[in-house]
Amino acid sequence: MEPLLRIRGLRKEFGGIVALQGIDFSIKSNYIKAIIGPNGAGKTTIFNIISGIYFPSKGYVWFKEERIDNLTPHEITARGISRTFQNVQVFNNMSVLENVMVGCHSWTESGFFSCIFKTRKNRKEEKRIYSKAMQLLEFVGLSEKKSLFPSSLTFHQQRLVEIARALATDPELLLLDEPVAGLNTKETIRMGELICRIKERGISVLLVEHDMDLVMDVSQEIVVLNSGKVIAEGTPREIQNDEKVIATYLGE
Amino acid sequence: MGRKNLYAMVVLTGVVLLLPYLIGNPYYVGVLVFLGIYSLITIGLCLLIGYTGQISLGHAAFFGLGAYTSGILSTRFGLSPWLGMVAAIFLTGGVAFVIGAPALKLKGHYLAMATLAFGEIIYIIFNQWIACTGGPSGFGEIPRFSIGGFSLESDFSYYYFVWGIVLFVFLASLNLVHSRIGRALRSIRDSEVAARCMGVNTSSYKLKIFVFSATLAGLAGSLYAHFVTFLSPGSFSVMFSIILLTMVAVGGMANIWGAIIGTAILTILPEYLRAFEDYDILIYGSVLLGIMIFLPEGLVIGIFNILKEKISSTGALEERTLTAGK
Repeated sequence: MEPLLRIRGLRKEFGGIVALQGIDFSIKSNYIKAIIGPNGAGKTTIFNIISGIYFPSKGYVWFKEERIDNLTPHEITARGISRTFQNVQVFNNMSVLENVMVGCHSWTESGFFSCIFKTRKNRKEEKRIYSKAMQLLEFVGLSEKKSLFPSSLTFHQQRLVEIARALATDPELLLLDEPVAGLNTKETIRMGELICRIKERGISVLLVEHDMDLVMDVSQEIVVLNSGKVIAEGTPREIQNDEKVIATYLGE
Repeated sequence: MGRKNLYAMVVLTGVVLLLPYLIGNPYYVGVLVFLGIYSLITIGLCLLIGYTGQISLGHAAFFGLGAYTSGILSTRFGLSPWLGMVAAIFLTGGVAFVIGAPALKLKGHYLAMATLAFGEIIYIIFNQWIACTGGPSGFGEIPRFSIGGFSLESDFSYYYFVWGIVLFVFLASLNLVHSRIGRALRSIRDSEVAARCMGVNTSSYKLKIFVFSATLAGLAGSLYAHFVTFLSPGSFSVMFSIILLTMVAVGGMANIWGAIIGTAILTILPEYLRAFEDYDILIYGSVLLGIMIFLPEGLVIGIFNILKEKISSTGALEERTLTAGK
């Protein structure tokens, strides 16, 4: 079966610096895969290319057998890829509920006219957006905070808002960029559970994370990156016993 | 639109309907006409700056383009003012599209500089293209609007005409802000990269709201031209763009109510300060300075927050006395 996302020969240069050189990997449907590697290995750069923020210098990205490496972020979101950010990017001047409602943008279509005159179609759509957002807040456990502004939430809760917002785009692939960075042990465990529950919804998760316990716990496959290259790929057990990985992480 | 906004809208409509009768003095009714015209521009600016986070220092130029288009067409070419108004809206919209498409790729100070330069260029054209605009001394005898055979000659009737449009635009903007598109605009202001990744076509929305706010300024320009019946470049200098910006800032950037309140204060305050003669500018400046220092989020949100604090603190006090009584 054709994988959900396939990356071939991905290369990215910033000026003279080569951030990625010849990355190949793929991710199946309804699967959890993690990318690990030391700081500066190029993990977030891969995310930025998949989500369309950067164009690759060379190489291809296919999603559901369609090339997406030349599309803009909103076009990619509309095709079913969504993401969160390493440094949380919630919309601070909107309520939690509205944050999630923004995620519904890609599958709704009311234009200026119907928004200004509140046509019947628009009101119907608005109801669907509201119930979808409420359902997702319920899913991440934030429905009681819906009217608050993100600034009054804990860091953990802000992360959850971001995840609910990303899920509101109806993705088939969710990119999570360090979802537990800065969280305590209890919150990390709950985040791990949430990631598994997201997979149960039929969504694939691609995870960038430094917390090894979480990565080994939730992911079915791991890609290890070092200085812009894939140095190992396999199941958590294989990765734990891989000599190159051990050398990279523990020093030779 | 929430219930709170609905009530406020009803109150605003009532005030607009009754105000001329309460005031009586035709001079002040004229001031209120200007207030309405400026409000149209500041509502558009508020959507652009406050909600979408994109600055423009060129809105006086769009205002001027609308005024000159409508004025010249109806005076030199004998077109009906109504057609002039339609032409003004389309021309400013078209110019905004051509200017905005490249300029909105810039951010922050660079966008401010680009729109500032645009405003300056248009101002120079008004001054120098004498054959068409009459140059620095301007041109007059612009006809007034008329509906059927009924001319909107008096300030009184023009007041209701202008404010009818303002109320409509105001309601439309309130609806827009609380819709799918309004949320998209606000998401652009808070985090453009997150907005793009949530499926918002940010460059398209930035351009659309820029064009929308420019057409409002163009419409306001047309209403202005057929009210004052005389145009000269002085009213459309970059300084006026800055005054418009101040109006939005004083009322509160991220609030359409703020746009109207801010415009009202900056239009009416100078009228009252005339009594202080030479000191009026000094007091005017101090008032603005005070508002920006003590209520940096603008009057509307600032006062709202103070009231909320007052109410919640008295509420807490009552609770305390109640439990103490027990």
